[in-house]
Amino acid sequence: MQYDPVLSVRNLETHCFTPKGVLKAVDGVSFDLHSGQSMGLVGESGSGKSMVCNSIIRLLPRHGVRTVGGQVIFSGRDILGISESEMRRVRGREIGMILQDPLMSLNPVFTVGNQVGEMYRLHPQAEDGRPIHQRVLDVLRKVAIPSPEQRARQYPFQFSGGMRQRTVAAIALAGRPKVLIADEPTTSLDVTIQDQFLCLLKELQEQEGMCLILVTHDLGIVAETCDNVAVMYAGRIVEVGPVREVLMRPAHPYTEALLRAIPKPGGRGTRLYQIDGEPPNLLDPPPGCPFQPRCARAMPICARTTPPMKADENGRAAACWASDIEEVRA
Amino acid sequence: MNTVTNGLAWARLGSGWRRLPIFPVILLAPMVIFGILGTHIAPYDPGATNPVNALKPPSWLIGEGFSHLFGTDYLGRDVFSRVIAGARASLTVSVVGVGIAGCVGICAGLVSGYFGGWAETILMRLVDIQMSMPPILLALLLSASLGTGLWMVIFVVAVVFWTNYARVLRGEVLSVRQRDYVVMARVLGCRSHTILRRHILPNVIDSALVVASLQLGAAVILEASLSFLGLGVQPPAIAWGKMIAEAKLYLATAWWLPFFPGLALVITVLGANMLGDWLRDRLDPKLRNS
Amino acid sequence: MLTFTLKRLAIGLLCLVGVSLIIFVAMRVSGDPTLLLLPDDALPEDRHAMRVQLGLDLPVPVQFGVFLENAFLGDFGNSIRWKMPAMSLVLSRLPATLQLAALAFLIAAVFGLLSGVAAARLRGTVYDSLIRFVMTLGLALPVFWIGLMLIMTVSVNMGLLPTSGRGTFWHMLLPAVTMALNPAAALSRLTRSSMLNVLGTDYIKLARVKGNSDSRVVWKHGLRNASIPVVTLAGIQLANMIGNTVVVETIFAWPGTGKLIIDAILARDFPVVQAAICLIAAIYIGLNLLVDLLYGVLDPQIRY
Repeated sequence: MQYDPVLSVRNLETHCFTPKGVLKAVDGVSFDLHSGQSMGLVGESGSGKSMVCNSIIRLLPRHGVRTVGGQVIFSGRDILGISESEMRRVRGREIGMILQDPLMSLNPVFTVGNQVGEMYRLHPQAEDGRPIHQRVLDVLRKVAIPSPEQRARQYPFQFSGGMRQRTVAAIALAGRPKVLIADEPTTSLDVTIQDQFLCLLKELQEQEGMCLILVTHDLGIVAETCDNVAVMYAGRIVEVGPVREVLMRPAHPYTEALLRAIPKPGGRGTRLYQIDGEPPNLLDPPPGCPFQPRCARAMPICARTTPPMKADENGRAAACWASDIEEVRA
Repeated sequence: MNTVTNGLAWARLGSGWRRLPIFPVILLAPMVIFGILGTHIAPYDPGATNPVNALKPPSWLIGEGFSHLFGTDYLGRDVFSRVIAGARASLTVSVVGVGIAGCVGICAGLVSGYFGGWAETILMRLVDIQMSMPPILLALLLSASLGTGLWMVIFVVAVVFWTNYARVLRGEVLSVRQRDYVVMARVLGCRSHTILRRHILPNVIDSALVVASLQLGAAVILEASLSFLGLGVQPPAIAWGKMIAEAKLYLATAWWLPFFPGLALVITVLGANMLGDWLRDRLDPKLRNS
Repeated sequence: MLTFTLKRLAIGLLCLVGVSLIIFVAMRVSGDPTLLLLPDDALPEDRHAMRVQLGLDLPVPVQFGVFLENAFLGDFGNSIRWKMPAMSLVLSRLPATLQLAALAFLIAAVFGLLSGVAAARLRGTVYDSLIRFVMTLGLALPVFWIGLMLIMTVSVNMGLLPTSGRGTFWHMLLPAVTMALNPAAALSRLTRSSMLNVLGTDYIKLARVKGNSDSRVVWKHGLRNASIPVVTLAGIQLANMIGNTVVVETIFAWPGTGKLIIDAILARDFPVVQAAICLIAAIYIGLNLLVDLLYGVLDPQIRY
């Protein structure tokens, strides 16, 4: 690779300390995000996708959840190690985030304009000399909010779900971040609004030259929106690579199973594929590969040793003993 | 609260009994024992005067062992025995008063929530009117005009506290009566009182229980305040509030006179409040803010 | 907004009429006022003349009508004990009570709010448990007892503050603290739980994502949302405080309405009792209305 990545996550480990034991919610996750790239982070609920995002931006629940290892290298420094006040300048300004539930993520007692404008008040380094009000209207226009002058004076409860989500996107954009993390941004929206929002997100990402991390459990969304995809299972990334390649030619049995579980057009009458078994109990993970108890291609070695990530020259990698990826050693 | 029959509070407490509310029980148990056994376990006759021995500080402080644990008052009466005897008035008034208030309030809540109409209008206006007066003033007005004595104080407590039940229960009934099984029972032609008894009451009794337990402490304080102001139970009955009022003249010389009855009061109220919090968290967390 | 206010005012007036009825009935039940007004050995003719003069010979509903009419004109009759119009007597004592209640409320609000927010921010730590325990204890302290204990320790034993009476700010401090204790505890507990609810929401997380500092998140984004239930309780507490002045003013010999009510009750001076309770009920109703209006300011979703 000729450029340094914008964001590089190395062996990230975030553990939940519960009364029943330590739960490895994120267990050695690594990935790189290059300038302008978008990456989908896919997995079942509970696989640790959101935990990865919260660890990057350092907003974990206060009690019992801690990042215990790894590095998050952003603009040449490990942001896991910087002070909280430095981190506040990173949040919003350098790394933006869109939360899951647009109905809940705007403060009900402040006007929309006030909440968008707060970004400019908090991060004056993004200043370009024009009055805040003017810039609020600009960014609202950017996310296609109609008649922004009027809308900026309204409260969130007067907005529809889709408009609220776009307002949240406007808040994220206002800081002109280099990386935008969108944590399941569309799960609580109608399907038509979902598409609209994803198109908007994609468009804005390209316009602003941001990196995008899109967390979702929907491979279809990833196929439409992202350049790369990382598939998570039980707190680890099991497969990563360019979207087309991974979706056309999955190297990990779990990815394969996920793809088979998508309903296909014309597939009426055939029973939808369903992955046998249940996700592993992370308090007491099975030995070896975590997917092995549910895997159709499990071999004796799978139950003994955790497979390492094997990567080829195109940036494809998978953690499976059975994968046919030709490993290249640097 | 999805099914008809599991509404009984005790069923839901089942698993909870393993985690008894230890602290409230420790606080309340001695008071309940004092209240029931009273003079039988008191070391002295609480009314027996002994002027020679008046205004003695607690015996263990002046090296006289356990003869008068809480000291003696201006007539030489044993304060410890009087504190024990005072538990009876406090507990009787608060428990019976809150109980009567509960019966009245539950009925009012059921009727106004289920039948609506003029009964609801009248009852809820009554609640509004009563709630536009500070409770202590209402109590004072009633005691002043009706007179004092144990039953009068109980009546006052009942009048002051019934509105809370009525309000909470009415709200609960309004939501329960919309549920499918109640609508079904009505469609099937059940009589109103059967529906109220079989389907609605079991589902709202939890809330009533929580309201009752949260009001118990307030009732203890109300009783004590009235007797402090001279409008509570009358002598020879002993009340903590009265003991504290009598001690006002001896503040500079005999701190134990107001201190110990007050301590008993605080322990009782604290125990009752904590029991109420515990019950509420267990049975009806949505009442948290009320 | 205006219609809402007018409607609430109308309901408030109805409640006042209701309160008057209760007071009227209570007064009737308590016995023949001429027994108090005239000496025991008065002649029956004099008693009858007195009844006619007081309008007691009229049918009861008419009497209530007359009472109501006079009450709305502020005429509750003359104090039996002080021989002056009851309402002006009550009004002359009102400033002292309001002054005391205002200071007590200020103390309770500041202290309750700060400790509640602190407990919420320190959730799960020893400090949180400590604050919660102190507040639970504070809620269980009877006002009259803690007042006496404070007098005993602070005034009598340490000689720091005056025991009773009205005069300087220092006279006011002890009764105000006494009165503030219970409301502070109640406000603190509710603030804590309300703040915890708010701090768990997504909009608070978004506020952090935007780069707000912890204290800005709590005070700017959290407090206004968290204060919505707290304001209701604060209104109730302020109103109850005015009731509690009865006890506190008695202990501290504070020359306010509360002390007047107790003195009047013990002296069976019913015109004064009626006037004072009607006035307090009116204040009570006004405060409740104010709380409802404040709600609309705090929560933009509420539009009347």
